[in-house]
Amino acid sequence: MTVHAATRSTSKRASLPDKYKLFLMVLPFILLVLVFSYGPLFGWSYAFFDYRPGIPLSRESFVGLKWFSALVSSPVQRAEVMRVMTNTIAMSLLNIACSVLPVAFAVFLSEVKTPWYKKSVQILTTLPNFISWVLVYSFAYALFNTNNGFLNGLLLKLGVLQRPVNFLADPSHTWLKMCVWHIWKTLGWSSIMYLAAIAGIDQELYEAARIDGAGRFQIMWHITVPGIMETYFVLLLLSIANFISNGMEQYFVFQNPMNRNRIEVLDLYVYNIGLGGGSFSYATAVSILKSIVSLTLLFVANGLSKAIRGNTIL
Amino acid sequence: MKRILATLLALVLACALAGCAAAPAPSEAPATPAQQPETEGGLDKSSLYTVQVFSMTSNYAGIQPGWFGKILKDKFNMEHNIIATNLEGGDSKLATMMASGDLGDLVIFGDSAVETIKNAVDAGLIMDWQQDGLLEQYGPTFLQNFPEALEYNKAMFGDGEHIYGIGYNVSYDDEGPNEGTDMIWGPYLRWDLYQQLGCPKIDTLEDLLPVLQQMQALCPTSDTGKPTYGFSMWSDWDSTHMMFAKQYGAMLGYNDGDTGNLLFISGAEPKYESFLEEGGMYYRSLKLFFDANQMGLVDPDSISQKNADVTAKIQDGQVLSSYFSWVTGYNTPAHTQEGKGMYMVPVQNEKIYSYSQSTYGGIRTTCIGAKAKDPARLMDFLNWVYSDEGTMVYFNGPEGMAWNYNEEGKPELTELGVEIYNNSTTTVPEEWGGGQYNDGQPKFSPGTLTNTTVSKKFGEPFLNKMWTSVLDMDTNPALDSWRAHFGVRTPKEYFEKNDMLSIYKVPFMPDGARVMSQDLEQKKSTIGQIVQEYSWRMVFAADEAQFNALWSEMVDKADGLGYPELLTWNIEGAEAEFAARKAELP
Repeated sequence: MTVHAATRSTSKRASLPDKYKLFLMVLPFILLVLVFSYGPLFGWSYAFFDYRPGIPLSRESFVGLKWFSALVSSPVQRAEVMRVMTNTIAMSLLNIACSVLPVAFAVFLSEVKTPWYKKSVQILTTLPNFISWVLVYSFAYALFNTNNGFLNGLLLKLGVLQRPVNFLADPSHTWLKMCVWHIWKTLGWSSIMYLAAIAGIDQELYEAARIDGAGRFQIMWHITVPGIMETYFVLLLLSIANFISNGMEQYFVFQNPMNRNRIEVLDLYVYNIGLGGGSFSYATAVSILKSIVSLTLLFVANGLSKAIRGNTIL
Repeated sequence: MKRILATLLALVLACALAGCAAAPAPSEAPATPAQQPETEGGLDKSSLYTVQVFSMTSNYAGIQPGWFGKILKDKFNMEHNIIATNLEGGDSKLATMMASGDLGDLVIFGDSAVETIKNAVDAGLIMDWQQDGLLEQYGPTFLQNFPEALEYNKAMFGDGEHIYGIGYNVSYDDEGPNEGTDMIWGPYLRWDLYQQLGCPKIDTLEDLLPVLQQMQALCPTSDTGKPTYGFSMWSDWDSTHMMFAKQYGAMLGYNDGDTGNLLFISGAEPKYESFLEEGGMYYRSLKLFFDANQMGLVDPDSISQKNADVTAKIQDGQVLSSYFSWVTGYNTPAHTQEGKGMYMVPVQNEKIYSYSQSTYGGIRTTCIGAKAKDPARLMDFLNWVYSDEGTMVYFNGPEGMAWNYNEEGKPELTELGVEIYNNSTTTVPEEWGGGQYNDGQPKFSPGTLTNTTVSKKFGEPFLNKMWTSVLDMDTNPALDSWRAHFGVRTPKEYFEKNDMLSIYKVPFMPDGARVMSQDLEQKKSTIGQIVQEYSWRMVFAADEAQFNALWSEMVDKADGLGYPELLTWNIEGAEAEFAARKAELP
């Protein structure tokens, strides 16, 4: 008895209170967040200096908010920022509007009854996701270039065209074209989540519907679609949170002087100005602006959520 | 059983790997003791020195191969590992290298690098050549032959005290243009087609268009059956403007010194002109390309293709004209023997921008990195590059292989040399390093002596095209008919004879290089993006109304982004330069 009590008391003394244990468990993740999310914020300091690569910040002159005021210094400059923001928002909106396509694709694909056909469609549509944008561009170039591009060759042979057309340098409908490339690349991949959700729908619901005499489309509309709506909304919210960061690789590889006006999204603008033009401080100021816009969006979404659903995300 | 097999396999693999690593050793071994003085001039060359060459002018990345690689190995026990910004993202690569604090062993800056050099010096990334007596001990050639180039560098970048490097195209004297047989610009046209048209006179560059159109009608398809174009351009060399559009100015005697500052400065006269002046040279140039595009003369791929694509098209005969003298890959023996080729056809109102021979050299500067592993060996190497012997090898290949001195002490091409002269892809014998000649050419692309300056050693320029023996040898039906038509042997002779040159001579700037403020730099780059983008859109505009609308939109945007400020800064610079030029006149 005494022995028992003794061990229990030592074990009690040696063990940490639960709150510390839990803290230790979460510590690695806090560190990761600090290193990868807060650490880089140090880079913001470059926006307040006349930074030249190679020379340490301590030797650069502090310029306060000069680069931020440069952003709005003239009407043309403001128009430039607005143009870039418009491109960013337009292409993000288009991509979000198209996020129903993977849902539809998944719903229809799950209706395919021939296993080999279903599998091969799925593989073929998922593959593009693993191709880098650089390769996608070389593929696009091979299809559309004027010298020995497939499309030009075909149209010239058929007599539709008299002289080759440079499709890649055509400035019209840039947003739409970028959206189509984006869909082509991500359609199969994005539908995987929905296919999983469909697999999780209770089969009894289908049987019950069939017994009640529901047709194929009725089953899809009344059972499959509601079954995956929840997944859809979660993913939609996530993509809205990422609204402003619509990436730059795609736009970077497809940009050329003819379409740059419409293709330059915020991230690409920062790249072009900062690394292309060597104005690091100014580019940093622009990217800080991006964070501010993201924060604003987050609060707006939060407010909407409160107004509509009655509870907040934050 | 499985385990035994696995062990065996691993053993075999290990042996194979060891074999691979050891294999090249025997072939390398004999060269080392026989040809390499381990210590020469007090330098220990016993260990292989892999020189990290950071080159902003090179178009090759990796280890220097071929015959020049062999010379490096045999003479200096070195190899060059070249990092080329041109192939690795341009300015962004430069910025990352600068931020890393180490620019490698040899650093070669590009033509418009005044600010970059200043920044690199400021950041302590470049070594002072006077440090530890480097220059006195290992660079006697520089001190004896090019004291003025050293002084120039001192004034430009070293506050009048430090020497951070040496410019390119340094000459022994400063008389006359430094170009060889051809100027940098032309225009160059398909000579055979131009002759078929009866050699119509071309008064202005705009007059090229009807001629090109007729040429296109004469020859609608290339050797491989592709459609031909009057102009085929590329956009990846653009900076703050459309690179091709600027060349119009160069053929009228104006250039922007490759600064991207959007101001044309005359080579010979104290005159300048803004790129954004309506009706000015840049405007007329865009108009010319726009008209050409309307006439179906512009390759629609111009905007998406790269320099290499155009080179291939030119070789195939898909392009009928070139502004530049160095884009004439069409002139292969197979073509020229048939009387076909791209040759210079002068435009009557031309005044070609030309660079003068200069004892100061140009801005493109060769430097030693502050963290170089063995600066003495690098200085020893550069000393050789800038010597008469080194320059000969740099431009013409190893002595004894491609050329030899004759009894009079003049250089002559060997049999193999003639083959190489006609076709740079000629195979080099194994004993000289093997591979194709052009693959083995020096890839680090540093500054050197001007290849047209007359060698002190043999009294002829280094450029083999200019040797008397080669000029005599260099004939083919196409070139002969060109020579007969114009009554000169080279384009340079034509321009000199007809006083059609605007020769720019680098002036000595005692106050050093001017550097733009960061604000202005930022404005320049945003304006530059607009100008470059709109220029291309204007060339491919649907009609004249759109062309004009885009022009005014471009000018308005540029003005709104601070172009007047940039212009003022540039004009100040131009005035300072004019004053310096004046001060140098005797």
